[in-house]
Formats: sequence, structure tokens, C-alpha cells
Amino acid sequence: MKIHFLLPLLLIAFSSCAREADLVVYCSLDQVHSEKILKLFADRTGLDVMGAWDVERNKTVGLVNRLLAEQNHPRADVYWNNEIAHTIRLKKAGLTQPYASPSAEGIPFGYKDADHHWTGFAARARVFLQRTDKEVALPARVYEMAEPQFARHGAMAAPLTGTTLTHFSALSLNDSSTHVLTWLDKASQSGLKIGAGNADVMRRTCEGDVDWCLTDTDDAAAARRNGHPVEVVFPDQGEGGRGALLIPNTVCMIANAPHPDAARQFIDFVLSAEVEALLAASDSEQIPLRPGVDAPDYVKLPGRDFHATTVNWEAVANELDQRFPDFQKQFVK
Amino acid sequence: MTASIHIQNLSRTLGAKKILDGINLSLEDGERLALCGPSGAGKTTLLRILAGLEPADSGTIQIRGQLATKGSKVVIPPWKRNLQMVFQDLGLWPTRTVLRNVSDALRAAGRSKAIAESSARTMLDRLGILSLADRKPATLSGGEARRLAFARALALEPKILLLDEPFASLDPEARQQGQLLLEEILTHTKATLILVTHDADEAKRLGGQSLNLHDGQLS
Amino acid sequence: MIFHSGRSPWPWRFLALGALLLAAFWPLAPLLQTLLSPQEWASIFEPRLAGLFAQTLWMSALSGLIALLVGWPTAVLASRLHLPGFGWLHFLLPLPLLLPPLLLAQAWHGLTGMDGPWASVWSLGLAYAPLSALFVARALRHQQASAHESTLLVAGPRFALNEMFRVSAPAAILGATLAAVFASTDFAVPDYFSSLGDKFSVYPAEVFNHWRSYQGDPATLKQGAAVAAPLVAVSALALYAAFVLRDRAGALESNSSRIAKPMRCGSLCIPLSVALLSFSVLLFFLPLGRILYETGATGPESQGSWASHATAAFSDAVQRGRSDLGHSLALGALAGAFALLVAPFLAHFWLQLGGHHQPWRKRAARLFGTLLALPLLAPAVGTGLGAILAFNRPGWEPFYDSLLMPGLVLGGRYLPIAVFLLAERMSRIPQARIESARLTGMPYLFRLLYVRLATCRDAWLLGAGLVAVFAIRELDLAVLLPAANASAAVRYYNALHFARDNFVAAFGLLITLLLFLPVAIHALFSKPNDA
Repeated sequence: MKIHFLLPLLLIAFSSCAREADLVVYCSLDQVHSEKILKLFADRTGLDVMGAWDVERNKTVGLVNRLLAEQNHPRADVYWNNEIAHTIRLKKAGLTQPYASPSAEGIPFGYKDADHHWTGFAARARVFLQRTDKEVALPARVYEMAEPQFARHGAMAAPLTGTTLTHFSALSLNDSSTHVLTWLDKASQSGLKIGAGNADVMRRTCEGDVDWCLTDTDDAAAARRNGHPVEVVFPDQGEGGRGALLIPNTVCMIANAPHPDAARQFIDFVLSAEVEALLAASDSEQIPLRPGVDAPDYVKLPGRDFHATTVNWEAVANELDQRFPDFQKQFVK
Repeated sequence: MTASIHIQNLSRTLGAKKILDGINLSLEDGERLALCGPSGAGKTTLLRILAGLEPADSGTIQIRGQLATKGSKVVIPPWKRNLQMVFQDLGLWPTRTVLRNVSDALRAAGRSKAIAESSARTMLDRLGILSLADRKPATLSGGEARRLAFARALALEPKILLLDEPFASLDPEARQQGQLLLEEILTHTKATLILVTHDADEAKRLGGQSLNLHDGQLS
Repeated sequence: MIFHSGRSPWPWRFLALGALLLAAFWPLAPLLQTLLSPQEWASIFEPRLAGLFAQTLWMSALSGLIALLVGWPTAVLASRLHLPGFGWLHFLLPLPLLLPPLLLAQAWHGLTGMDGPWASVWSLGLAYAPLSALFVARALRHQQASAHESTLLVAGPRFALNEMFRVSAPAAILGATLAAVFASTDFAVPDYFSSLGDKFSVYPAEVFNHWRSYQGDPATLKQGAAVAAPLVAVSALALYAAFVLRDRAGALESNSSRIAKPMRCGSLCIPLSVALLSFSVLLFFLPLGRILYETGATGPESQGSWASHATAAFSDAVQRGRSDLGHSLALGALAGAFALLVAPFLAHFWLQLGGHHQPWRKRAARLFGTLLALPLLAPAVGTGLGAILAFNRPGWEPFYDSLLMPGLVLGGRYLPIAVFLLAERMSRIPQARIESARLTGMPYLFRLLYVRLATCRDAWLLGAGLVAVFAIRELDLAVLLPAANASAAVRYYNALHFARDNFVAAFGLLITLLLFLPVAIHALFSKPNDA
């Protein structure tokens, strides 16, 4: 009987020894893709890199909350976000510090913070995913999704989280909040299916519940790779179209990071053309932002294969903070 | 006349020990038997086999002329033998009140709700515990709990009553009261009785035959 | 207070209570401050929130009811009846608890196409039905053999079954209440079914969204805590009510070492076998079968067979998840170890507090039980943020970064399950056995070890095992607490996002298998009456 008490005591004693890493990276990009990049960096530099990942079920805010809670005694050096709005939120909260990485040279100006607190790279595009095994009535523009001839056959995620929230905050900034809220109201009534997330609406398209959905390119790539008869169509193209929205990954250095040199080294690495090429070739098919990156043919590039819209990200992040309660009232009932 | 209980060549082995070794016994209706013997002699096992709660290894038991147990086969299940048993640890139902320990037994045995409740009250009254009708068994004293166990067994008017050391842990006064009570009940019900006891006086006071179970055999 | 040479339980109790305060209540301190800030309460009186709250209450109550209606009879049939060919089914009782609820939800949708709030109620009810079943199985295991046999003598198997249900009712209700509490805090499953059909939302989603307003200081943490408070309060009330029911049911200590044998059912054998088979199909075979199918299921344009995809998925799961699984097991072992060490002292204290007939002591014991459950009822994200605020301090890095910190926090959070199970079992130890040990002058710790815990080893280990399982399944805290991040739960839910359905199904099954292995080994090698 004593053994039942002694064993736990020993276990607790042994577990109280923690390893001290050379670099701590908090990462919101899917683990299956990003851990390869972290490992490559660790192998090349010999540094002991510790990664922490987030999950979609938490609306990918777990690590942001952790960074906020740890702000008086930061434990992370770098935050690699698969999105942008929360990175700007961290900047506004004073949790990031500037670093102008030489690797950010070729990245277009619109995807970099003017004060060098964050830098964007490898993006996802907001796209329509449609079935190819049937005749599909597909809207050409995002706002056409609520039209009766399209709505009953399509789906989108509620704008409460992730890229959909950012997307509709960007639309609200461009077209006024009243316009977007009225449209969302119309969309809710139109028969358009509203899902919990982009992966959910993609699955419904694959299962044939709907003919098309508004989602991200990485979800679309997963659907195609899983053997479903689907293809990607970029919205808002052609004359008068404002272009598809590209939402980049962002990387930033945490203020008072415990390992600043290693953090800079990692940011230089992750912003390199090599990493953009690796992410483009990965299963998530991230779209390189800088021109001339070696990407597989099936990865569509802005300027070459589709037209992308330009966005003031700081303003979008502000708009997101203001609109979120409105979206919540509309969709959390 | 058919014997109430007729046991023939009954044997039972538990592990390496032969608990019962060729037991033969016959009891007529209303007959009383006190079964004595040291602890572990197999008295309780004999009662349990008789009740149909355990199989034997070999031998037969007939109850009122019907084959009830044949070797390891329980031919008549316990609930069809028309017998009741008061267990050494009483076996009261903890979630039911004193009244419902008795009335629910009667209802389960097929009496209507009204009859079950009035019969239960009568029986509790006879045993002097009607005032405890709304209490749960866990709140009763040892003596009170034992009366309840008797009340439940007797309310069902069994033809055979098996008592496994029913007065074992009672003080002398309570024990004497219990024995008087039992005598009164037996006179009234005329049930066949097997009483397991360590107490020779108690066996004598019962007034029937008294047998000793030792090394698996009756003497 | 004077302590007599190790005979007093108080030094040990203070130690256990201290460990509980450190592990479970310190992280809650920032949330509990909300109680002192009335201005935060204003945010919760909003009609939209009232509607969400009502919706969550009826949904979780129905999930609890399903857990009761499925878990209770399954446990009775699987653990106490002699049904041919079903002897091994009671081993499987904990199995659905080991599966992530979202994986079960996906399996049910895949099987039936169900969606909307009713699908959520159904799926969560079945996911937590084993909680009710395990509590019932433990209670029945110690039903007095003679009490059972007297039911057989009176009226046969039907009445005996009736008595088994009555005896296990308080345990079933306590288990179902815990199931309802777990269901009421889950928003991933409702979110999933909402995305598939009729739109609906639940209160925990609102609680979760309020953590978004968190700005890093305890003051903003209060907004989330204030919104969570009504759900915690209702859960606590439900638990208190379950304790009242348990106390009213009354129980006899089992004076006999004889445990009732599985009952032969005579003519009821066939209908009861059919019933048990139906429950088993609902709880185990259908969802597990579907998840197994998902490991190799792909779209029509995919190359390769189901078997080749499934093999690849399992191989991927082993390769990628191996170290996370190891990490999770270590974390679970730590949380279980914490429960193993602390639960006996608290269970004994709780039992003694309520073990007298004075009504005020009963009430105090119920209050203590409810208070003990507070960490379990508190929202996980709030607990995680509270733990960071409590333990992330200069000089504390070795502790903060070690596995010990999440092990303690998770152990403290799920400790009530172990305490409730152990106390229920301890209450059935004959008083005479305890008193005779006391008369020998044996020190308190030895009495606890060699008299109480020696008798209750199965419940003690089961409780610690359940704490370990819940610690391994925990996601929200695992994301937030440093050393817990590299865990199987984080990898599993991370993969869910990316539509890696084959991997998710294979990894989910792998986690289940790994957790189930010790249960199966214990069940195979333990004696039937190993109490």
C-alpha cells in the first residue's frame, strides 16, 4: 500500500525538472506544417527550439491570451501567427518590439508594419470552393452570395473567428459597417448555410450538402488532396472586381523576449524566400507574397493568376475590434 | 405424507475443503430443526443451497415433493420455493423505509398495494416496531433491525423459514425476547424451521430436533 | 489544537488542503475576485444572454438525462447480471470517456447525418454516459450480498433488478449531474452541430468569447469570469442537490465481505441480453466502428484502397504523435499521482464531516463537496489564465516551465471526481473495522493506509485513473500551460482544423487505445471480488 504513496511522490519530484530552451516560438499555423520549419531551423542552428501551438476550437486565440497573461514576465520570444488581426492587437497592447529583418526586403510594403513590429509572409486567399461533378450556380463576387439563385446552394463560416472575421472586418472598413451588417442579415435570411469555421463549410461542400462555399485556399487544398471533386474560384475578379483578399502569416518579436538574438535569427529565417517556398510546397499551399519565389504550378499567385485586393491592416484590426460585438449579436443567439 | 424438506446425499466442496459430505435430512411440515456446529462447518452453506442461492455438487433436495436442486442444477429458483431466510447480516434494503421493506416485499410477491400496506403495518405492530415505520434501516438499533428482518420474512407467510444465527449479536435480554417472539410466530404460522445457532440452550429451547454439523456430516 | 503523536488527522488534512489550495484555488483567485466586484455583474443581465443560458440549461440537463438513461442500465446490466457472452462488457464502460467528444460527435453525424441542438444533446449525453455508468458500477459492486439475495427470495430477478436500480440511484444521479456539468461547459460539439444544420449557440461559447476582451490584467479577466459565474452557480446548485438526494437515500455499510454474485436472469435473459447489446452498440460499437471507417475514408477521386489510407493514417499518427502521447501520459500520470496522494485525506475528511446525524454537519459536508468541485466547474480558459498570473513570476521559471505545474493544476481541477468515488466507497467500510484499528493506537496515516485504503484500493485507483484521463483529454488548459502544450490533445485538435480527417480518426483511436490498455490489463488480471 505504501508504494501507492511513494510512487506518486517520486513522479512529482522527477517532473519538477524543466528544460530551458534557447528559443520559444508560439505558433498559430497548423502544427503539421510549422513544426517542420521549426525543426529545420533547429537543425541548422543547433539551437534548442521549443514550440507551442494553438487550436481552431479555441478560435486560435489561446496563444494570444497566453501572451497577454504572460506580459509581465514574457516566456515567448517569437509569435508566428497564421493571421494578422491578433498580431496587431498584440502590438497595440505593447507586447511586441520592432525588428526590421533583412529577410523582409522583397515582401510587398502592404504586408509589413511601418514600425517593423510585424512582417507578413506566405498568405492564404479567401476563395470559393465549388464542386466539379455537377452544374454549379456560383456567385462571382462575395456580395452575390446572398442572392437567391446562389444562396440556397452555398455556405460560409460565421464571421466570428479567424479569416472570415478578418474578411468581413475588411469589407466593413471599405463599404461601411451598416452595409456589411445589413448584408449579413440578408445572407442569414437567404438560405445561405452559416458554418462554424472554414474547414466545416469545406467539409459540407465535400460531402455534397452544398455546391460551393467561401473558404481559404489551405482548406480548399485539403479538400482536393482528400480526393473530392472540387476546384477553387477566386472571387471579385474581372472588371470592377476589387480582387480576392490575401491574409498573410505574420511574425513578430515579443517585447522583453528572454532570448532576443535567437528570436531575430528565427525571424530572419522564417521570412526568407526559402521558407515561403517550403510553405507553398506544403499541403497547406500557402501563397508566397514576394515575387519570384519557387512555388508549385498548382499554387496560384497574385498578379499572375488572380487579382488581389489591397488592405490597410492596422485599420482592419481596429474595425475588427469595433465590429466583433455586432457580429456576435447577430450570430450568437 | 410428503416431507416439507427432503435432502438426499448432498455434497458441496469449496476449494479443497469438503463443506458438506453426503448430507441426508428430512423434515415434515411445521417441524423445527436447530443446526449447531463450529464456525466454518457449512451450516450457512447448507441453508443457502436449500434456499436455491447456491448449487450443490451432488445430491438432491426435494421441497414438498418437488425436485428443487439436483447436483449443480438449481431446478426450482429461490423465488419459487416458498421459503424465506433471515440472513446473519439481515439483508435489509437500505433505500426503503421500515414500512416499505415489508410492504414492497408483499407487493413484489403479488399483493395489492392496500393489502400489502395493511399487512405490513400489522406485522410491524406485532413485532413492536410500527412506530419506526418511516425510518431507514441505517438508523435502527441492532435489535430493531433484526425485528424488521423477521417482519419481512414472516409477512410473506413462507412454508419454510431459514434463520441464520438470528440472535447472535444480541444482549441476553434482547435474545430472550427474540426467542419468545419466534416461538409465538411459529405457533401461529406452523412453518417448517431450520435455525442455525452456536447456542445449545437456544437449540434446546426451540423444542424440535437438534443436529450437529461437523466435518461436513450431520450427527 | 494539540496533535497527539501522529494520531491526529489534522496535520495531514492541512497538508492536503494546502496542496488543493495551491493547485486548484490559487489559479482561480483572479476569477473569484469577480464576486467582490458587483459592477462586473451588470454585463450578464442581457436578454440575449438569458436566452443562451436557458438554451444551455435545457440542453445540458437533457444530456445529463441521456447519460443517466443509458449509463445507469448499462452499468447494472454489464456489471451485475450473468448474461452469456457479456462478461467482458463492463471492461468497456469507461471507453467513450477516453474519446474526445468532438470525435464522437463527428462519428454520430457520419452515421446518421444528425445536426442541430438535439444532435448535440444526444452526442454529449452518450459521450459522458460512462461517468454515470462508472459511479453506478462502483455502488453496485458493494451492494450487500444478503440484501440482493433476499430480493431473489422474495420475488425473483425482476424485483432484484428493481432493488439494484434503487441502491445505485444516488450514484447514477451524481454521475449524471457531473455529465450535465461537463456537457454545459462544452461549446465545440454544439458549434460543430450548429455548423451542420439549424443554427444555435450555447452559453459557454459566449463565456469563451468574453475571454477575447482579456487584455492581460486581472481586471479584464473579470468580464469573462462574470459571464461564466451563472453557469458555475447553477452547476454548483445541481451538484448540491445531488448530494442531498444521496444523503436522503441512506445506505447501510457492508458488514459482509461477501460480494453478491452476478445474477442469473432466468426467463429475462433474452430481453436483458438484447437491451445490453443495444446499449453497447450505442455506446461503443457504432461510434468506434464509424471512427475506424474514417481512418481510411476519402473522396471519390482519391487513389488507393480504404486499407491503404487507414494504414497510412495510423502510421502517420504513430510517427507524429508518439512524443505527444508520451508527454500526455506523463501529464496524466502526474495529475493522477496528485489525486492518489491528496484524495484519501479529503475523502476521509468529507466523510467524517457528514458522518454524523446532526443536520448542520450534513449541510456542511454538502457545502464542502460543492466547494471542492468549484475548480471542476470553473471555465478552463479562466483557470489557465489564472494559473499563468499565479505562477509566472521571476524566479519561478523552473516550476512554471516544468510538467509539474500543469500536472498540479489539472490534478486539482479533476480531483473532485476521485474524492467523490473514494468517499462513496469509504462510507461502506464497516465501522467496527475502523474503530478496532483506532483502539490499537495505530497512527492516523497507518489507519488510513492499512484499514481504509486497503479496503478501497479499487475506488482509489479508479478515481486517480479518471483524473489522469480527464487531464489527458483537457484541451483549453493544455494550450495555455507551457509544458502541457506538447500534448496529444493539442495535436489532435490542431489537426482537426486542417481537415486531416484520416489522421484525426487514427490518432483519436490511438489515444483511446493507449489509455484503455491499463484499464483492460487491470480488469483482466484483477480477481472478480478484488474490493
